[in-house]
Amino acid sequence: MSAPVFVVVGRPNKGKSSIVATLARDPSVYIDSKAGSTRNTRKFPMKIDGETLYELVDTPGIQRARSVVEWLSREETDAARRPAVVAEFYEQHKDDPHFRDECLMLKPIIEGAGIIYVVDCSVPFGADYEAEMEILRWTGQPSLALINPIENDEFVAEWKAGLGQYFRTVRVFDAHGAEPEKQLELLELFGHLDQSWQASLSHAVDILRADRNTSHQTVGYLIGDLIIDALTYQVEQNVPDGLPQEPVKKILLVQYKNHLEAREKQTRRQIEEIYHHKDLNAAMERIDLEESDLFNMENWYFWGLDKKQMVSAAATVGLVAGGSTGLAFDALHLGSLGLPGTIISSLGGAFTGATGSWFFADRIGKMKIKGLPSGGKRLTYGPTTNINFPFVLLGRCILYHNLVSIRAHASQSAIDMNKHALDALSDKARKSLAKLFAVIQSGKKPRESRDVLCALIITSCEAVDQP
Amino acid sequence: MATERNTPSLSDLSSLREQIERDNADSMESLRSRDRAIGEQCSAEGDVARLLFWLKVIPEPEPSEPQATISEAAVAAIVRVGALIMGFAAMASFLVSGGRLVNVFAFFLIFVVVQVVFCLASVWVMLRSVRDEPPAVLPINPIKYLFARMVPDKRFYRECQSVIRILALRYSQEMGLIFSLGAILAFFVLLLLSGFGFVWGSTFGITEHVVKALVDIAAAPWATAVSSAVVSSDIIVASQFQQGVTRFGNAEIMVTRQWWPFLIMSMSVYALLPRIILWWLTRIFYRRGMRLSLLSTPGAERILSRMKTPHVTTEGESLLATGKPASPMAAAHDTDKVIIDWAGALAFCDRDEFDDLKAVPAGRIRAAGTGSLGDDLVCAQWVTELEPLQLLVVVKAWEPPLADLQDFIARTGGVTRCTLCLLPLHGRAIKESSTRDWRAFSRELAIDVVDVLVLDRPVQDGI
Repeated sequence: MSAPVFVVVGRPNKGKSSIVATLARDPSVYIDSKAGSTRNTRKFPMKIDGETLYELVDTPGIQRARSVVEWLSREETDAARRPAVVAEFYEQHKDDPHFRDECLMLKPIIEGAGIIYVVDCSVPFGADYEAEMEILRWTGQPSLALINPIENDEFVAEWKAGLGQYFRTVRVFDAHGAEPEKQLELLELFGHLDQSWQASLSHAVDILRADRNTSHQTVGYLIGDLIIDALTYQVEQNVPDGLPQEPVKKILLVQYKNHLEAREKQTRRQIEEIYHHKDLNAAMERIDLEESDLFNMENWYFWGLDKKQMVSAAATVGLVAGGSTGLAFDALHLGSLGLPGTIISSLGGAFTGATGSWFFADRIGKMKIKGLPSGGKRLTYGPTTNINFPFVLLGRCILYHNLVSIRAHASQSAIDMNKHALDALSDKARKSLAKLFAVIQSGKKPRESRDVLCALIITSCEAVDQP
Repeated sequence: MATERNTPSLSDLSSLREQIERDNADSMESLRSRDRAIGEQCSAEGDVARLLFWLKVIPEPEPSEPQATISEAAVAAIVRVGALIMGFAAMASFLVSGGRLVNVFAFFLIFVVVQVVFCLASVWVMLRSVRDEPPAVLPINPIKYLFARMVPDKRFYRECQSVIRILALRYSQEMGLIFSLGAILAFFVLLLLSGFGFVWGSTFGITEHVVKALVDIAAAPWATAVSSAVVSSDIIVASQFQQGVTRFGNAEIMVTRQWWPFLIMSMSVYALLPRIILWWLTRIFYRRGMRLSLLSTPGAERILSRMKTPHVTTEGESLLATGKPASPMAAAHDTDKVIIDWAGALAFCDRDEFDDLKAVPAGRIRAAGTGSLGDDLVCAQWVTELEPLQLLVVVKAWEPPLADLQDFIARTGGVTRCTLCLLPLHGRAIKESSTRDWRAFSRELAIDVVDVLVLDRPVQDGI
């Protein structure tokens, strides 16, 4: 059995394409305030692994409804023949440029499509609409009317009354503001137009619901990984003694900030694409990072070791050297002394190495070997110590998700990021999140902390669908 | 098509990481489509097998320059041979360096106690690693520096540092095992080829009773099963060494050689056996940890999700047909003003509100656009007969211009000037886009002069 087809019809500029864009989750649908911007039919099949479950068809607006009705009335002999008369009209006029738009609309209907008739309730109902509704009635196909409040719903009552004369099902559906759940409910409603379409539409709606849940989870992991990256990212550069540090500092700071910005942009793009949006171009303010929260400078020795590493290395060298000497001493006595030489000289060597390198670290750092400075400064930017930073980043990402995930695909409004997604967070939750961020920064239990963070974000993402 | 492997390797983790990095630059739609296609081909059971299949199928990018690589197995083989040689050399040099007498305490310390200490340290590291809390690496550990040079970012293996530690442990147990085997081999070879004996002695006043007790404790695990590997009191007494007092002749040395079964058993039980158990455990934990690391690689869950989730597309297909809109047409010519009330527009206003309309007498106003086409035709003929100087068509500005009106105007004759009067809804201004649409529509009318007049009312609520 072929998949149900729903053809979206109506007068130009009543939001047919907006409804299709929203239901088909396709922001590429050409939507213009200019009347008649849709010049051809376009199919929007809902496919699951290549199998079509239903199909939406966007059509150009009806232009000569009364002429069509007049032709149909002339040819009609009895009410039972009306669908056949409509088909005859199509056959006779399909190549007639005068009725091009009407034929484009009628073709899928004659082939068995359900009809979604779209009107705008921000303007008044008029008798001139009756001709086009009459044509649709004549086709004999299952139909419903959608009242699209493009600007407001001022005339919704009179539209309901007028449409009720021609359609059994009339619904108000805001193409630009409909929540995802409302969109799915509408699709389910399409299935009720014809018994044979119900299973297909129900299955499609189930799949779309599951798809949405999967999207929330995917976004949860994406945001989680961004936060972890931002919390642990670090750039560093060793600067040998005698070389200027300021230019290096500037480069490192820019590198650090650019990395964070690029990662956030990348995550935003991925969130948009997950919810089938493109190039929303929401303004992204740079998070104000204080240099003092990021910058760190420490000495390094022997072309790379920090002080702790140098002390450990010196202690080990002392341990091995002292131990070898002591072992040789004990070997001379066949171990009959109970190896005191080995033990004492090992400990002595380790102690001497460690304390010597600790107290003379500065001198060691200034040593030159074959003219090359062996020590210098290690300049580091990041990870940030600003405790608010991860909260700000997380809040922005969750807000972005919330705005994008519920955004209708017909919407062309700008994304307003001047809200705060984490405002509702309790002090207790804030504290436990701060602890989690600290654990992530420490690098302890990386798998577990990532899982916990991502689970929290997923819960927050899923909350967008809660009533 | 199914993958045979079910345990990932370190290179799989690295490949997965790199591929996820590359994927981040791609569009989600292309990733969904690609991974679902791979998911449908994949018959493997389990997430690990699915990910390995995915890695196998995803084409690897060509390296920018030829890379000289050496496999993990090749490195391991070299290190194994090295460990065997070192074990042999260590034991041989130890046995040879003492002349004909070998200190049992030193032997036990180097080849048993030190090994046990290493094993205990390994157990601690292994337990911490299994709990995903690997201990910090010593700053001077050369493997740390080797690893730091290998990976582009030290956070690269953040999620799999435990498994890397277990891998290192696995190899270290293997090396320790081979080292001990090499040492045992050297022990036997030298035992056969040279005539050394084992002695003990101490300036701390350790008596033969204490030594016997210690030896019995050490031999407890095998005392009943291998009684020959337990050192008797006689041998202990006979092998006591006192500097400057004891003289060992060949006969005495032959007696002291009877320590060897005990020493071999000690090495086997305290050095070899723990290594074997640890090696076996690390193999198990490595496999488990590797699978866990593969699954917990950031981005892996997204791949699996895309592989499992049906690929849902709802977007539109390419345009089905092309063509220009039906072009409008018309004609015109003559005298006074006539108003056409199109589609009942005047019902939404009081004509007197607008100077342009109120001057026209009621007799020169007709309605069209709502009745039948025949009515429109009669109306068009009426306009033609009047030959008005200007035809005023009052339209609802909130509705789009339709070809229906175009047809009507085309049927009128003798009209040379037509004005489309855009009537706004009460309390609303006319949208700029509506005016633009009507202007575009007016340009399509085949009348000499066509203009668009916006009938302004005081605005209460702008749109």
